[in-house]
Amino acid sequence: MAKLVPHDEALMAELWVRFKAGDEQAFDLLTERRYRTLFNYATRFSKDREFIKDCIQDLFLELWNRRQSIVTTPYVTIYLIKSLRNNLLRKQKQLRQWEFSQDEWDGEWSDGWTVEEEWISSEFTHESQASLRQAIQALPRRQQEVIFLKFYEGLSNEAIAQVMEVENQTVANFLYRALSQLRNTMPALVRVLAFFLFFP
Amino acid sequence: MLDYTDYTVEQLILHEAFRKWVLHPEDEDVRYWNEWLNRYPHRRADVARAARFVRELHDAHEELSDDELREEVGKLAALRRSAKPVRRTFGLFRVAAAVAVLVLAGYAFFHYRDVPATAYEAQKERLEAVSTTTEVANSGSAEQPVTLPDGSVVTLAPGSRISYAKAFDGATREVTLSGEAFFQVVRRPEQPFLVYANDLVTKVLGTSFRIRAFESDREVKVIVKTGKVSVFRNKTTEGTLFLTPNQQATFDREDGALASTLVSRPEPVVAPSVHAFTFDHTPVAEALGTLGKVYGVEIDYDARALERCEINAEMDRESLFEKLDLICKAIDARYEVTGTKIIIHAKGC
Repeated sequence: MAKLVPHDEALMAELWVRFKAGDEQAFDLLTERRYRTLFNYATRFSKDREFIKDCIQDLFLELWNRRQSIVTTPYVTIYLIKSLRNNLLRKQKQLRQWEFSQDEWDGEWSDGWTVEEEWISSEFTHESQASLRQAIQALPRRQQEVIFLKFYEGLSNEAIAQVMEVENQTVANFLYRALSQLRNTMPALVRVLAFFLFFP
Repeated sequence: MLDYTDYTVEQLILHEAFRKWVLHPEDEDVRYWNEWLNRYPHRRADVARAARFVRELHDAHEELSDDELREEVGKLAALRRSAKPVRRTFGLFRVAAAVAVLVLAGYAFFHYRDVPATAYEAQKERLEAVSTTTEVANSGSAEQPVTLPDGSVVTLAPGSRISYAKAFDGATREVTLSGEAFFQVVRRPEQPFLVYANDLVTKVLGTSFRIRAFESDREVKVIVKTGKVSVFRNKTTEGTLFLTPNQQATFDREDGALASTLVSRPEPVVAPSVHAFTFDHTPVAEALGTLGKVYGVEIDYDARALERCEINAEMDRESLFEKLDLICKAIDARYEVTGTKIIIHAKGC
């Protein structure tokens, strides 16, 4: 089967070429079209909305300033997601080193309070969107990331592996674990709903 | 047409073309799947469940309001228009340093270039009078690391300047800052490190922290995340504040008032154990003790009033104040923040 191209990816590619040539309107439109995806994606890395906005702003301004030297990429969305991911991780690493580096700290800020932790209590029956949100947020960070890329952006495992710089099999493992976890905590999730909703 | 007839719900949701139809349908996807469903009507229920699943997961990731989107996209367009992009650094601070010392900038950030740098200039001249100084100004758009004579590293934000002695050979290591910077200070207990910023002095022995001090700001704020920092007025050490994590000092440059309070959202200062906030018939006094320890705050209460109070609750990432709300609600008490202390008013159980 031919490789799927996201809905307006053809438009993105066109905007990319135009903005590289200095077209300001194309740049603004591209920003507008991809800001939401990038923001929602970044919430898998940080709960600090201002930090996220900073990172996205930096990313786009950097692209604008370096527009003449950046690649002519055929797949704009993945390029943006991947660039933002690198920025987020780099900045978070800088911040963490910061915490660890100072002497009063003694490295006590272990991962006890960070993302690789599962605080799930499985006896709850979640019903609402808010509960689903919580259930997703309770997943380890990289599982959240896979779920986002898979079900928000609709990417294939191969594309996700490329973004996260891991093997395809690792993506499959993350996905399996995340879905099992969600299925346990969200039994109402796969409930049947009137089908016609899905036909525009 | 591909044969998905024996696909389970799970196989459907994992199928890329299926998700594309649900998430980003184009005409051909709609045509395709309608045709498919007409051919296999008995699969409608499963397809509906799978589509529901994907859509729910998609919607659960929505974190941005339309207003916020418009605002941020507008800001980006404005920054793109201005030849020299200015970096925002507000958010970075929030998650930032182990010891974060912040001098609040109001919103003069974008205008700082036009404001006469009086406090900075005055302090710089004082330094120049006693030693040969070096000044570094960051006029670029990226952060700029500066290594000081003692090996400490200052990361200067764009539009910021520091000046310091070429050799740290005095009794103290002194730096003057205008703007914003991260400091990673080499520990020398015998030679304290002092940062002068907007008439406020921040003194440490060796640690890392962040200062933000633009000349045009009225209020100066020093926020400590971990470690110990002392803060005093430039003119006198009288009224020196010793700050510990989650405390902040506010200095009003107009009336000279300097006071400490709790930060608005205290962060844990030690990593809590996994079940630190799982309370199962836990005496309330003990629960409050855990909170005080994890957040490094002093919590006062009448031990006798709480003698027979117990709490059952499972908390995790709520803020300190949300946790206090929950505890107080459970025992019909209230709390008050006075200065850097939290006081519980309970009637007893």
